Amino acid sequence: MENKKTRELMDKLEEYSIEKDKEGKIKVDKNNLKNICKTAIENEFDRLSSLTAVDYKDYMEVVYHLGSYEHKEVLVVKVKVDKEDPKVPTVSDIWSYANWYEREVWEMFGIDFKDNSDLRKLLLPEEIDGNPLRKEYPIGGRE
Amino acid sequence: MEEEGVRMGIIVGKVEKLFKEISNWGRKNSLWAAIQPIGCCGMEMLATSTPHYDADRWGVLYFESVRRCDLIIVGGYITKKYLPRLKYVYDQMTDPTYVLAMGECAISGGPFYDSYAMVTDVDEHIPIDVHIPGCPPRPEALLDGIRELQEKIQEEGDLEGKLPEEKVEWRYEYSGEQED
Repeated sequence: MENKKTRELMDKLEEYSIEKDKEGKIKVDKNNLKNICKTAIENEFDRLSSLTAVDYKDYMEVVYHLGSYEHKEVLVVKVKVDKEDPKVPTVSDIWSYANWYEREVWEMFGIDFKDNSDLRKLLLPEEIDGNPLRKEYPIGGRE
Repeated sequence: MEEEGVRMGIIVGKVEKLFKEISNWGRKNSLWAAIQPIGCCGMEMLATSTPHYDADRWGVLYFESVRRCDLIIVGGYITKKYLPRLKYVYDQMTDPTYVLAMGECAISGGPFYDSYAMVTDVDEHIPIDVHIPGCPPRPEALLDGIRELQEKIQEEGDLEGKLPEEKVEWRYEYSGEQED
């Protein structure tokens, strides 16, 4: 597939010092995230189809998939976060349904979404401590 | 006292023992089962009640209202979030309550042993009478477990650990602060 519209959007996003990788995904700085989301919405990439995170042992990445019904293409945005002090600006004021995604990432990875006032546990019961999807979490929750 | 047994059509023995045997016979042949079909064990559990396998031949009838049931078939993966609900269900059932653990997950965690969400020691939280291994056990295995439980009910004679005052030890204290 050509991904023509995605490439066009990437050219427009050049001003935010994005970094493209081979697979057509862009790595951005967390301070530019909101502006990039707003630019994507203006270019009809207006649907947040997934928000998740990956633990790479030394650092973590929050991954946003911005889909477009108009062009049938997907833009993948990755934000690198520090493992000791993981903080990312929230996008729940742009897409209100991002709140549940952020709650899940918060409980599973311990990533703090700044300005999201509704960070409660979504899937896990209260008695589970720690962040189960982090690499250092003990197997089966047992020490 | 003469020897116990049936002689010339007359039953000889202690009255209490006779009553006990009759009540146990009644209990074992009329098990009302509360089921919670989780995962692949659930499919086998439901198949057991269908005409092909027909658990009703052994007197096991699946019923919706747990307060009228005296057998609970614990099958499938028991998660940490589900365990308080399971204990709450167990607590509401009639005494004596019999428990069947069906499948590897309910016995020891099965293939999900490594998961952060699994309870691998259900028998620490609910007293289990018969364990049925298998992943999932076939309906025949479940029927075999039911038959074993019936033998146990008939032979045990007494109801150790099954009476309300002994059940207190397993009682789940419902705080009313659950979310749902």
